[in-house]
Amino acid sequence: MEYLIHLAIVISIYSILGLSLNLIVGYTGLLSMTQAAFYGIGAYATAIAMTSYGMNFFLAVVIGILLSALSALAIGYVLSRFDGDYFTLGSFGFNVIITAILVNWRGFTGGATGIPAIARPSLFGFTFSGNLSFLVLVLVSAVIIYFICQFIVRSSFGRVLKAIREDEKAIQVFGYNTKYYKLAIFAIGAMMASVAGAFYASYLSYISPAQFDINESAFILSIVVFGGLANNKGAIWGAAFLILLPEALQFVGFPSGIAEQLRQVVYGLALVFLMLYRPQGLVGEYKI
Amino acid sequence: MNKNILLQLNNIHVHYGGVKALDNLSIKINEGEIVALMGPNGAGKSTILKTIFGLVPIESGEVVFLGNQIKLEPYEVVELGISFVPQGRRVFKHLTVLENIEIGGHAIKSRAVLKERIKEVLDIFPMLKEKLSQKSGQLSGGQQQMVALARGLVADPKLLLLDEPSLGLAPKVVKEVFQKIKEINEKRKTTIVVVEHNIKSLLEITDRAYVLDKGKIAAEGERKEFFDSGILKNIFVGKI
Amino acid sequence: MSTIKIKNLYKHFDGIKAVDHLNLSFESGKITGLIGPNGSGKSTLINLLTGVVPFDSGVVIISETTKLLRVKPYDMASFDITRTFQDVRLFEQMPVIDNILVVLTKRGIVGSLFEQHKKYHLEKAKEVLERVGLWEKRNELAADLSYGQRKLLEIARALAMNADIYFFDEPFAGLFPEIIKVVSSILKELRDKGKTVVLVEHNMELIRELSDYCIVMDSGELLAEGKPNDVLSQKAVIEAYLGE
Repeated sequence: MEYLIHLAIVISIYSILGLSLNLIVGYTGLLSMTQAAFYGIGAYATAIAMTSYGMNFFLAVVIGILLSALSALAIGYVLSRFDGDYFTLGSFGFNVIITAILVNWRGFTGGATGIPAIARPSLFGFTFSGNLSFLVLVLVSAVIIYFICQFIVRSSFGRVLKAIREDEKAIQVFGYNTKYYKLAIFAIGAMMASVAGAFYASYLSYISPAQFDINESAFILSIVVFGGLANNKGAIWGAAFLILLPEALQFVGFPSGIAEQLRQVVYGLALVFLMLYRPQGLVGEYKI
Repeated sequence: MNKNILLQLNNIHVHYGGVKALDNLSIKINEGEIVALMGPNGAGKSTILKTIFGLVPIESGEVVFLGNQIKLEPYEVVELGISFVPQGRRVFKHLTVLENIEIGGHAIKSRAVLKERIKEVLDIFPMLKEKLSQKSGQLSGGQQQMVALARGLVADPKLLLLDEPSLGLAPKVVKEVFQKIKEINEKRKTTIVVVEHNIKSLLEITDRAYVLDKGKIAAEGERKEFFDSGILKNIFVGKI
Repeated sequence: MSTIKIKNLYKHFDGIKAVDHLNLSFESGKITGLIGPNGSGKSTLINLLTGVVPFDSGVVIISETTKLLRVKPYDMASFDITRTFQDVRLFEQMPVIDNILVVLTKRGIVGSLFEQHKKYHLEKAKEVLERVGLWEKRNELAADLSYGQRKLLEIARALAMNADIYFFDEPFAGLFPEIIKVVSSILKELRDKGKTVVLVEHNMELIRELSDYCIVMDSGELLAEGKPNDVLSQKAVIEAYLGE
C-alpha cells in the first residue's frame, strides 16, 4: 500500500511537470529542453528557504514560483531571438548553465552534494509527515494546476498559442506581438514546474544538482510527447505510463545479473514501438 | 493510327485524405500524346498523377507502364523514365537554382549529357540563367515554379506528369511554357499528362482530354470534339 | 476610408533590388489590379505593406495622415490593413472556426486570457464563414480541407479582420469557376463598401473584369498604370508580361 502511495506521489509530481511543459511544447510549439532547470529552481528555492531560513513550505513555494518566473523571462528573452532548432539548442544550453550554477555555488546551494534534511510541509500546526497526507496535498495541487491549464488552453489566449505553433509569421500579420505570448507561456510553464520541484524536494527530503540536469528535461519531454502533445489529460497519462512502466518491469522475472539492463532495453523498445505506430502519442492532437 | 499504349490505369480505387479519391477509374495514355486532365477542384486529377508516381497507395486496380504492371516507390518510378512536377512550386529552398535543376537529372550518367540537357532547359526558361547561383527560396513564387518545371524537364523523361504547371506564372510565361511543352513533345517524343485549370491555353496543345468529377471520368475526347461540343462551355460554367 | 500611398519605397535582398524606389498609391473604393512578370516585386511589395518584411527606406502613408518610416509586423493590422497569402498560410492543425476566431479575439495577453465577448465573436465568425460557404465545415481541421476550401478560408480570415485595406495575393490561382464566382463577388462587395482592394493576379480575364485601375510592376519598378484596357494594350506591358 505504501508502495502504491509512493507511486501516486511520483506520478502526481510528474503530471505537474508534464502539464507545464505541454503548454510550451504541445500548444505553443516551442521545443524547450530546459524544463528541469525550473523544476530545479523550485526545488532549490524550497530547500534553501526551509533549511537555511526556516521558512514555511508554502511561503518557500511562492518564492520558488517568483524565482522561476523571473529566470524564465530572462532565459525566454534571450531564446526568443532564435527559431526552431536553435531555440531548442539554446534551451539545452541554459539547462546546462543552471545545473552548473547549482553545482558550483557551493556556499549557497551546497554544491554537488546537495541539500539534505528538507522537512515536510506544515500548515497551522499540522505537518504532512505521513505519505498519505502528502499525497493528498500533491494531488490537490496537481488537480488545480490541471484546471488552470484547461482554462488557459480553452481561452482566446490558448488559441493564439496554437496559431503561433502553426505559423508564427502569419499570426503576426494579423496583429499579434507573438514575442510576449511566448514569454508569457514560458514563464507560466516555469512557475508550474517549480511547484513540482518544491514537492519533490520536500518528499525526498534531499536534493542534488544531478536530479535537474538535461536528462531530466529529456524525460519530461518524453512524458509530453508520449502522452500526447496538446492534450492536458495526455500529459497525465504520459506521466503515469512512463513512471509505471519501469516499475512494472521490476516484477517481470529477468535473470538477476542483467535485470536492470534488460529493463532499460524493454523500456526503450516500448518507447520506440509507440513512436513508430502512434506518433501522436496516447491521446495527442498534434504530431511533431 | 497504330499508337502504342504507354500507360494504363485499370479500375483503380484509391482512398486519399479520408475520401474515395478515385472510383473505378481507367485511363489510357498513348505514346507521344499530350493528354489533359480537367475537372473541378477535388475531382481527383492530382490524385491520378500521384497514383502513377507511387505517392499514394492503391486499394485495387493496376498501373501498367509499357506493358508491365508497376507497383513501385517514387524513386523507382523515376528510374523507369517517369518525371513528376507536383503542384505548388516545390523546390528545395536552400539549394541554388542550378542545384535544384541538377537534382532533376540525377539519373543521367554522363556529365556531358547532363550539361547539354541543362542548357536546353535553360533555353526554355531564360530568366533562370541569371539566377543560377541564387538560393531558390529567394526567388518569387512564379520563378520557383519555373525552377520546378525545369527540374522535371531536365531528365528528358519518357512520361512527364505536370500538376498545374501554369499556377502563378505571368501570361507571357504561360504561353511560352505551353509552347515549349508542345516542342518537347514533338522533338523528343515525350508523352505528357497535364492537370490544368488554364483550359484555353491547355487545349491548344493537347491531343486528348479527360474530364473528371468526384473520382470518376465524366467525359473524354479528342481536342476537336471538345471545342465543338458543349462540354467546354459546361466546364467553364461549372456544370460538370 | 483609407488610402495607402508609398514614396520611394526601397527593399533589397542580397544585392537584388526587389522594390526599387517605388512611388504609387492605392485608392479606396476601387479594386486595383497589381500585375507584372514573375519576380517583379509584387509579393514583396505586399509583404512590405503588411509587415511581413521590413523595408529598407522610404515612406508609407496611410489615409494621408499616418506616416510610417519603420513598421513592425504586428503593427500593420492596427492600421486596418490585412491580406491573403499566395501560398495559403492557414493554421493547419486548428479547426476552421478557430482559424477565424483567432483573428477576431482580443489582442492583449491579459485580455485574451479573460476574453469577454465570446458570443459576439462567434456571430462574426459565422457571418464570414457563411459568406464563403464554409460554416458547415467549421469543426474540420484546416489541413483536411480541399484546395478550393483552403483558399476560401484564407479569404474568410481576411474578411473577419474587417479592415479598410485588403491585399489579395493570387486568390484565384487554381480555382474552378464556381469558387471564382464567390471570390469575385466578395471583392466587388468590398469595393462597393468603399474599401481599398489590391488584387495580384495572372489571370488577365479576371483582371479586366474586376479591376478599376491597374498598376504594372517590373523589376521592382513601376512599368505602367492606368485603366486596365489601356495598360494591357501598351507595348511595354505586352513585351514584358503578356507576350503575344
